[in-house]
Amino acid sequence: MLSSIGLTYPWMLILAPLCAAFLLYVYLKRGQGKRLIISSTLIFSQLKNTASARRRINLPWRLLVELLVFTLLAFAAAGVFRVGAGERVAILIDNSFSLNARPQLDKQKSLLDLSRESARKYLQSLPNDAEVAIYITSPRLIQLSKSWISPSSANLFIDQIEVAPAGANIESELAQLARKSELRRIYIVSDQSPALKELPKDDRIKFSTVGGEKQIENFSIGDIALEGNSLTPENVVLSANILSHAKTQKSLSIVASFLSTAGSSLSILSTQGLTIEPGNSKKISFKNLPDATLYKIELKENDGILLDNSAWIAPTTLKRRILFVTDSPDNNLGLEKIGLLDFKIINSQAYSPKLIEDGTPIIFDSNSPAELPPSNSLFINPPDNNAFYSSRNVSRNSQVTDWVEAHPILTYLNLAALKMQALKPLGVPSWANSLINTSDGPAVVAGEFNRHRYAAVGFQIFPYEGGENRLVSILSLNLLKWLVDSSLNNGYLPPYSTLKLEPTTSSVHSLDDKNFSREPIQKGQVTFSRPGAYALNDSTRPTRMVAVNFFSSQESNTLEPGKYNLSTLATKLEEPQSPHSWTKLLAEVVLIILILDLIISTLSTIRQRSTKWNLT
Amino acid sequence: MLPANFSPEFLKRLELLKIHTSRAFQGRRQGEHISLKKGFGIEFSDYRKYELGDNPRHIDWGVYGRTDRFYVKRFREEENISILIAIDPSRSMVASTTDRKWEVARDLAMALSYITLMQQDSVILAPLGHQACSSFYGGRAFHQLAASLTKIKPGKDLQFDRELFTAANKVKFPGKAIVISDFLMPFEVIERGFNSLRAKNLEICAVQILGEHEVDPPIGRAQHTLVDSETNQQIELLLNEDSKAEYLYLLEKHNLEIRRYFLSASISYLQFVTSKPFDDLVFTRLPEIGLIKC
Repeated sequence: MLSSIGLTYPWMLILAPLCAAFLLYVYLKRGQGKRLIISSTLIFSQLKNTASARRRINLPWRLLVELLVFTLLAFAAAGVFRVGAGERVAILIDNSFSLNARPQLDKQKSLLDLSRESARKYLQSLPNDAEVAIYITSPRLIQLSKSWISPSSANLFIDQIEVAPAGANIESELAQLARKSELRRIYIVSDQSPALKELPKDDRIKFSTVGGEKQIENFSIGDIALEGNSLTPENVVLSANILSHAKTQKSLSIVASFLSTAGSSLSILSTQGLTIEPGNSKKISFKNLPDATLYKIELKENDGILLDNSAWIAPTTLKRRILFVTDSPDNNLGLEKIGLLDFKIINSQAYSPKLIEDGTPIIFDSNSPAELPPSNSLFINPPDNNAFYSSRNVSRNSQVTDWVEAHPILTYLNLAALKMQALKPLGVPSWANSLINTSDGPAVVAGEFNRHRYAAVGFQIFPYEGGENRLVSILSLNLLKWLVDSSLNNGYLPPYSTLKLEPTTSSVHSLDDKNFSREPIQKGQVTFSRPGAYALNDSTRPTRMVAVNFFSSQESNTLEPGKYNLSTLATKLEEPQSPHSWTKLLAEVVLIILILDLIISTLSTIRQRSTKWNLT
Repeated sequence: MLPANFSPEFLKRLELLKIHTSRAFQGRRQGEHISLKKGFGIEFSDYRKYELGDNPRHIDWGVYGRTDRFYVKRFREEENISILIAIDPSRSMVASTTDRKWEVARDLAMALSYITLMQQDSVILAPLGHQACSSFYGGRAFHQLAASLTKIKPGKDLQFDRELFTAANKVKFPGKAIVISDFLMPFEVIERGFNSLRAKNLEICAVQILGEHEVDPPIGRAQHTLVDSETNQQIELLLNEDSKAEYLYLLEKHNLEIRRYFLSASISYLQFVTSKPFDDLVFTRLPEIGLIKC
């Protein structure tokens, strides 16, 4: 036990014997007892040598308490701590996307490799008994080592670090670490450098910047999109935004490829050249797209970061489910024409709020539930007795009189030309607005209530007729888009997105032509941690493709990695206590003892007052 | 102003007492010893009742004729029995205000002086440690004597044996010596002091005055630091039941040693604890040792 205790200021222990000696002297002096002046000590002087009267050193318990208190205080002053613990060091390694950059294009060594070397070198400088925790910055502050580890063990964790398709909020993460008072040192390795206008007052922080000695040029894809109207697939264009993070003009070659529905490998669509000015962005488009489940654009350039040279887009990525409640015997609602959504049709009797507990949007066609559903809902031609939109008698040939210009439901619409054969004018709940007014009353009402979106249309928009009734179709698509509340046209997900899978999904695998792997399915969902194209294999339906992209001009900008501001750590934290220091504990124990002593002494004094007697 | 004990009733009671001497002193019985005062004449001073053993030649027949009672003449030399009253005013006598040893000693000296003066003997008052030894004679001198006693400020350092020696030297004629003290001093000192009195052929009486706390010290569990009032010697002691028992044993041993000496030296001895009534000392205890008689 004793060998596991260390002292920061061992010389302070001298206080213990000094205080003990002083205390004993005081008590021996005090122990002389009451002074009595008597006639003569003639008889008493003979008595003092007898055993019964011989002075005894009856040290009261109070002396022991005070000795204990002084000993504890001496140890506290000496800074007792548990040996073998050492100081605690946090190493924060920036593993954001920009660490993919290669300082030398002919070599595979990335900035992350340099970061690992810097971290390892720092670990070697630490004492053997130091306790280390390894942190990474991306996708968020994560401690890789779940407990404090030795510097030698920390190397294993450093080797396992990979670049994450995410940015890094170094300032915030440093602030989180700085708040840990048990850390004696914080070492941060990043391609970003600290803004040194104001030096941090927290001198625990040491930083290392990698890759700063050479400027790395890079080109990246900033975005990918399928532009155009799904109503006219032949006019859909595959476009991408190309960014230059270089100092000179550059001619680039961009290749577009696709994955046909039946094929299992990418086929090249076409190749285009592009000249881009330094620091600029340029858009490139590919037309005449074949029918495909996946498109890919790739920059053919050996630049600083290769991973941002590719982007995918899958047109069916976001086929959201919508519950369609209708009692119409006619199943020809034209829903199949709206290829971006997966409609599940049920009748009004089968409807239950439990069906939409996962937030599935719902459409009520000529019917309505007793209560507002707990999900985004669209009411088409609600019945007269509906609880939300009081409706009036059907009117014919209503004319649109006014509408709300900037509402997303009404975009791309020439409402003046809107013809409604039969309109059931709607009442407007207090939480909603009338978007389209007619001569007979509101025709379209929408609003948000309890964080859900509710819209009502006083006339029938189904069956969906597509191009045959363009105005209503656009209105329908706008309504659906507003209902689904996501971009129907993005075609890709950001990294770390979680996708809920159909129960019949058997596997998910990456279609990366370099890396074929299976993503783990957990509890019916999968999280895509890396950019790429993924195939969702389902025995009951065709394979779905999911595209995952990471676009960040900041992370791809290898010329200017950015700076993090340490002045946010302006306030120096109080001197961190060694987590193994017992000083605070000892001080608390002493305080408790002194309080108890005070209470007991007070009670004793009160008791003594009533029994005092005078000798002389 | 007399002390509180000396009420008129008390004084009346004192008048009925006489200092008793067990020995015949020179001049007490005429014709038995050659007078030392040859050539000075015998001066008639007073009458007293005839007692058996008196020389019939001293019967005053004239008084008998007048009164049919026998009276003998008293002569000055016969009455010049000096009673040396040596009183100890040292610090030990005033160490404890509650014990009141000095007050008792002083009152005792005053009472004995009163008795002596009333019986026409002279008193030599010798407060030990004080230079002056005053001699008093006659009843009228009592107040003066009382005033002298009252003026004494006790608490002085003194060497008992030397002071007794000095006091003894003041006595010109054999008589009686009464020493009032607590005798809480080494036996050798007591012995030396009294030996100087014995050398004067005095009939000695020793009255030991002790305080209640000296014969029954309070005990407790705490340590005590006892300080000698005269020597400032400090002793640290634990006064408990056992140590008290031993103390009492040692005190008794000391007193026994003194008593043995007194007995061997024919010195009458009386120990009085101040917690007892003063009247008890004067009217009961003193007659018991034969110092006074009714």
